[in-house]
Amino acid sequence: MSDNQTKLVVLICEEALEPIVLPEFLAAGAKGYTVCDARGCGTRGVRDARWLSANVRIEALCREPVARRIMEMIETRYSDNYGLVIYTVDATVIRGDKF
Amino acid sequence: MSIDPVVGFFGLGLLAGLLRSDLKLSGGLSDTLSIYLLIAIGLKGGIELSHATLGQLVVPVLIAVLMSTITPLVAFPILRRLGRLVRPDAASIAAHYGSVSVVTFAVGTSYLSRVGVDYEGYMSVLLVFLEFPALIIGVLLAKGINRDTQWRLLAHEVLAGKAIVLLIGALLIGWLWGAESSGALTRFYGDMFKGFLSLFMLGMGVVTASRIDDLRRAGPFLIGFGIVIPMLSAVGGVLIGMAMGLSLGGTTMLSVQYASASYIAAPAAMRIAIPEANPALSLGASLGVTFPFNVVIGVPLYHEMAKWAYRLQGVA
Repeated sequence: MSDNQTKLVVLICEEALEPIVLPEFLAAGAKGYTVCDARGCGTRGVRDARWLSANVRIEALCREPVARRIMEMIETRYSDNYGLVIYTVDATVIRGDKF
Repeated sequence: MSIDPVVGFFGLGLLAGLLRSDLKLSGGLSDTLSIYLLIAIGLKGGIELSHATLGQLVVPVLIAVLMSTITPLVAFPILRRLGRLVRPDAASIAAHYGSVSVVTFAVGTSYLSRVGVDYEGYMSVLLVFLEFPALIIGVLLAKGINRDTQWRLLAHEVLAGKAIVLLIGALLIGWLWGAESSGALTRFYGDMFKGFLSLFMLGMGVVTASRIDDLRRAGPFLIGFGIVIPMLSAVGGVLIGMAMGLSLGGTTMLSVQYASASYIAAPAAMRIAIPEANPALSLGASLGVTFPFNVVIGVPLYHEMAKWAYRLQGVA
């Protein structure tokens, strides 16, 4: 993988999970992340981003081994009890040494 | 027994939600309104406390907090045996019902001010201390003293949450500056209280309407639970209030607090501490059943209960 080829890990989950998983993203080796509010509909029902019903979308650009660690961590520790979706996609970046 | 007009706004929001109207309070406005309510309640309590000494507070607060732990401990076996709920769900719901609702408190104060009944200023101090003991009991009921529990994160979520920070902060500000220096503030936080509360109640109506589906999932047991437990807690509140020698208004407010169930602090804390628990059940019951019951029927009913008990005591 060239220096500019990275993985984009995207985690869409209930807001309650945000303070719990963000430190774990960093511990897994991610150098940073982006969080924004999200709304939508899935198997666990509708999240319309109204009050008391918020979802967040957490994104992190990282190297492939880090992405794998994050996916494993989410699957083993949180996917049973929290409403979430996680996936990775290939991403081409500039200044690849940042990630 | 009469219903406060702010409850009318709750009904309006509920109706709008059921009609799928586009009415909604944005997250920012809801946050602003809850900040306002917390400061207003804290400030009012603080100003009244400026006449009291710390010593007068310690014993009643201690008794009221100790007694508040009965609710989750009674609710838990009921939920387990009669409701046949699994341990995490029962513990989480017990925690919701042991904790308190600031907005139900606000509706209680609004009702009392309309019928012209005063209450002890330290009721808002109680609000601070009644929020978290039940949450800790809930976690202990679910897991015992378990190392896996994220106690630090939980403690931070609850103790540094905006409810506790703002209530304590506003109490202190009111207490330090007193009525004379905070006159201009009371115009904003006192005179306009009902207006802002009505806006908040409108939003609460819309949110409650969106919980109706959860109610279907919760089933008849939780609906009954959400009405009976608050009434039992309110009876306990009347008895304890009278035993503590509170005024009629103080006893009413203690009952309202014991009867109320949390739907902001508790859900957030339980998601962290008992993630196995299904939030739709606890929130469906506390927000879908108990909150509407308390604001529409509960508050006037508990006041009548307290009045009746005081009359009885007067006769005896």
